[in-house]
Amino acid sequence: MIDRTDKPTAPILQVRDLKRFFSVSDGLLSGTSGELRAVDGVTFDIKAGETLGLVGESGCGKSTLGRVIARLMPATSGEVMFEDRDILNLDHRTLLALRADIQSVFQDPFASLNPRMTAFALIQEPLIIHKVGTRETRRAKVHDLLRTVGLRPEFADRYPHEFSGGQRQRIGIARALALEPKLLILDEPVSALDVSIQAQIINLLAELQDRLNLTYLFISHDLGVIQHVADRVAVMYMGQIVELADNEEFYANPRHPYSMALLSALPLPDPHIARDRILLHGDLPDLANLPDGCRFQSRCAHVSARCRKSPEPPLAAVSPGHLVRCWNLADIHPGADTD
Amino acid sequence: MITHPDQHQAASQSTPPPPLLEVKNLTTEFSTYAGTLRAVDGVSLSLSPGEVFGVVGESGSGKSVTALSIMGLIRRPGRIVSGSVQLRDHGDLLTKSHADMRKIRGDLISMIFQEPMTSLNPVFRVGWQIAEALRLHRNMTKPEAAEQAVELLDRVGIGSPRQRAREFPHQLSGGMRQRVMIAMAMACAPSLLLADEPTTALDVTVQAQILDLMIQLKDRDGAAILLITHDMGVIAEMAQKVAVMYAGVVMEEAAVGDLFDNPMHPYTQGLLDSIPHGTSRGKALKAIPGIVPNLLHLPTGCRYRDRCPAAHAPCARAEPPLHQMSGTTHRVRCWLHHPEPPK
Repeated sequence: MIDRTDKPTAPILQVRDLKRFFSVSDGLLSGTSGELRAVDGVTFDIKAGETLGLVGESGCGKSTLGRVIARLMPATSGEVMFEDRDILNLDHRTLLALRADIQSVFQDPFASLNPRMTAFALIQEPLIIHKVGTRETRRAKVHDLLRTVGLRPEFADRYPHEFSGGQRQRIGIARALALEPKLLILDEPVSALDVSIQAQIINLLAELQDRLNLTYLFISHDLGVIQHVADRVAVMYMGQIVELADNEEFYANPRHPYSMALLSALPLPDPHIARDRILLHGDLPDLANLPDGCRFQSRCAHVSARCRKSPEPPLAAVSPGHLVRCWNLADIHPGADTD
Repeated sequence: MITHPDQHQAASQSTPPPPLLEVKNLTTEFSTYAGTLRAVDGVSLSLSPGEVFGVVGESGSGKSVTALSIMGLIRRPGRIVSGSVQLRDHGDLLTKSHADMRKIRGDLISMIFQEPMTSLNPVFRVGWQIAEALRLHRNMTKPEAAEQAVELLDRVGIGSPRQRAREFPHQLSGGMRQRVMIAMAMACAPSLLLADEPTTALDVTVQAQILDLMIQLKDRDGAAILLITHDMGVIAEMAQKVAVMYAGVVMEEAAVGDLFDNPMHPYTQGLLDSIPHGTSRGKALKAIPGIVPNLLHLPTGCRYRDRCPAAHAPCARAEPPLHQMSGTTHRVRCWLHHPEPPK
């Protein structure tokens, strides 16, 4: 068992009321007609050395959030502090330095690697862009990185199509590690992989985190994977965090009705567990046309009159470190203490 | 409601119903520039009415090709080399003409695929696509079939079905498209449903809705379902019997309770150990080393041996047969569990 108690607790990343809207149009000629609120007021911290698991279904804004934090996409408003830098307001030179500290690994290792570059060129590219080292030291560094992610240096001259999915993801990870980042944004890093390969990559990421003292924002739709990797869990729904808690607390006492439905819907690999699935009815509401009040009202089993009126429920603490965005917690969990 | 494994076992103690589908020794090959590869290599399985038979495996294990072979949908460069697919009262499907198979597909046997966007026709309204099967197989008139399509959409839980029937696939969400596929598959109340990764592209809450729908349809219409998936969780929740496939062959087959309580094949054990779960946190997962072998270059002997932690001398000598453990329905392809491994 890895001892996780000795990790420092200072936040490495602080996100405050972050928003990212996209303008949408109804058709070719009607011009801009509204805003799609992909990320709509997200606030959280990540402590140095921890893994924050970000779960949610497709379209909830989790990938957009990751991209805004990695500065792959501008924010609409809000504040993101990485260590002591306000990363939404950086000039070109300091932004380049920031990119060395925050790197991303993406879901599809086939789509995210240039098929015309060899593994060597792919992993070396960030070093060239950031003018790190000489030709010789870069070569040594790339070979080092290949070994670090469990690939043989002889593979350096192969092209992406010559690797399996798991190996390609290892190249993606090596490339992200080239500049010795502090924070990795892992966006569904194992979702495209077979179960047996998924386990290899999860193990590799855990080992790298310990060895290189990395901090992870681990984005996934898979609650089983998140339970294994995350120190804390944030659940996103329609652009907002609806619940945030420590791993054990979240899986033992999910409080938000959406989290409860998500957990109940997760098929467990044990045929002897008979569970009552909470079936959500209806599909997701339109992000460009949100209802008044709580965004989950149309699918919630515990909806009351208050949920349909403005304002939206705030993300409030139910116990230290456990935040939930719901008006009806006292009715849904009558025995639980809320403070 | 979910049929539990113990109920299934109780039921199987009385005279079992004759199988609805019996696949024997099915072998399907594909010719490629690099050589001929055997995607399915002697697969046998049998399904009873009202039963969910799970086929689990990783990419390249041959599980989809098995379903396509049963449906008679293998096209060049693929071909079915040997075997038989007996459908009760209809004989061997592999000997049927294309015309006969067209009558059977969509009527007696239906299939749902992983990605409903690619299996629905983008230029036809979804109501029309559902009605097509009814006009073809039930000789309904256009208005009759259209009316029935609306009813089917309602049955699979699509709100305002009359309006939705007039929409095109791209106007529907992923979950709704998969429900349209199920409505289409269920149009003629087939006795056999082949479901190839039916929920893999869907979110977990939508997956729960679709699985629930499949169980309802099975319980009400008594259809048998061949459920293909890579997800052991879905298998545990849905199936009564399970076959684990690897590189074209069945490695292990058992009642679902037996498979999860007593996985005998090292590959099955490896698959189950690879799944992250609550108590694995902070520990390394027991991953299976290596990758799925290239079907053109299978190792000699057991095809799993170069990844297997229990590999020993007999494994290199010969491929183990699928051996039935005495007194059970549990079958396993491994020399560890065979009475006479090669010396």
